[in-house]
Amino acid sequence: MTRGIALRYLLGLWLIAVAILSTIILIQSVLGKYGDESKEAWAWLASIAVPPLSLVLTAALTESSIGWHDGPADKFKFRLAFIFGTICILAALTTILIEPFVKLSYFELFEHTSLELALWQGLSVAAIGGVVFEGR
Amino acid sequence: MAVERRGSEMKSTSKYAMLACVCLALGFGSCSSIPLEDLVPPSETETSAPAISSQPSAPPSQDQAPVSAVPSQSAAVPTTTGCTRQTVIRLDDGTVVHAKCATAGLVGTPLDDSSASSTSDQSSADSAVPPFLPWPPPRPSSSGNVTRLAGISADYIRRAHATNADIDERLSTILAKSGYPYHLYFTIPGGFAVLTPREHIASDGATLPESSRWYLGKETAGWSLVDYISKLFAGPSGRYRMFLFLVTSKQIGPASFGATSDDADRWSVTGKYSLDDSIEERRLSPRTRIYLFVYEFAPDKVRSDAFEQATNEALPLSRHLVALKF
Repeated sequence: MTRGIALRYLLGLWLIAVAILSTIILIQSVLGKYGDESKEAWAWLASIAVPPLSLVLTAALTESSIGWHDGPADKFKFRLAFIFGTICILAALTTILIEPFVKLSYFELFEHTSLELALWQGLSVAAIGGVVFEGR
Repeated sequence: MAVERRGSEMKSTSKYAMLACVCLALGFGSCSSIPLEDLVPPSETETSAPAISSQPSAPPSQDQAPVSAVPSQSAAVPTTTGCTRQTVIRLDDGTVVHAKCATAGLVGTPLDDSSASSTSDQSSADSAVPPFLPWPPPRPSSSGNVTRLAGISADYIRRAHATNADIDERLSTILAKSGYPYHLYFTIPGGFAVLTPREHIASDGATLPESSRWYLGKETAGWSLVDYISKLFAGPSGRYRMFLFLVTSKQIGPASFGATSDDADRWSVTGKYSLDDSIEERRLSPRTRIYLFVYEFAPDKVRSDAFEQATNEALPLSRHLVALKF
């Protein structure tokens, strides 16, 4: 797998995740799920998705040294970035989808899960950095 | 030695008196935040408290003088209202008001004479029916005069021996028939108030079955896909209600602000299960009326254990009266 393809996979993963999560939150906001506090939900999503997504986007949109895209990607680092990213996204998606079954409100769930999500997000960003900055 | 001790006591007393004078000079509003017990030594507080507790020996009528804005005397009293500390001030006309409650937002609250007098004694204060706070009561979701609906006629009120106990009996019977396991009492200017516990109601105001009527937690989704989707995308559902009966001979009106979840929680823990004998035995005034304030709540979107008052989507009073079997 080349670095260019690895970058595209990571970009695709995070773009699809943000599209799904933001669509759910948008519908919930429109239907009044959050009342006047919908910005809290958007802030929660932004705090999870913006750092890794902006890192991948920056790597994709900036010019790299000649031959960097065609060079072989470090499989271990790529798998790490993909797995950590997937775990982080699934945890965020689960937080939203599980709310109807639990006694806590959305905002209490956001508060309770923010630390755990921050952990996975940090690992994910570090692994993405390992992929996109190597040999650049 | 005794002379020296008296001298130091006098110095201490004069220091407190000077502080009180400075406080009064700064104005009533700024002074109200300082309980007098902080200014006056304990021995003086104990002697000044009974001064505000002059209670008529004969059963009084519920008519009382209107609230004046001129404070004449103040004293710190033990609280029975859920506030940690509060200062009570007797006005020139004899009306007693809360100058400041240590918990926020309960400022300038008129009290019934009976409640004020009862608070003067520590032992009786523990068992006294507390005043309804804040006063005037927060804006209800719906309200009305239900004197006639409660079966209280003008002739009944004019009867010489009709007392608060008779009204209490009527209301208690109505509430018992409507399935309320208990209700709470408060004193208000010119009478007393009866509050029902917060109950979960149907969307049309009807009473729910016992199994869900008293459940106040968040409604979770069942295993139906439609139920899950609706709970995933729509806000928390549910409607909750508290009835507040105000039995008073005074003209009353709601405050401009609505009730909060904290208000409802405080009422639930400060009210008493029965009226004092002194209040029960009080004769009714010809002007005594029964007003019903209905507080409707919806689940708070932020806190799962909190509620917010429903105002725009509130049901009309007639829907609630059906639940009371009026």
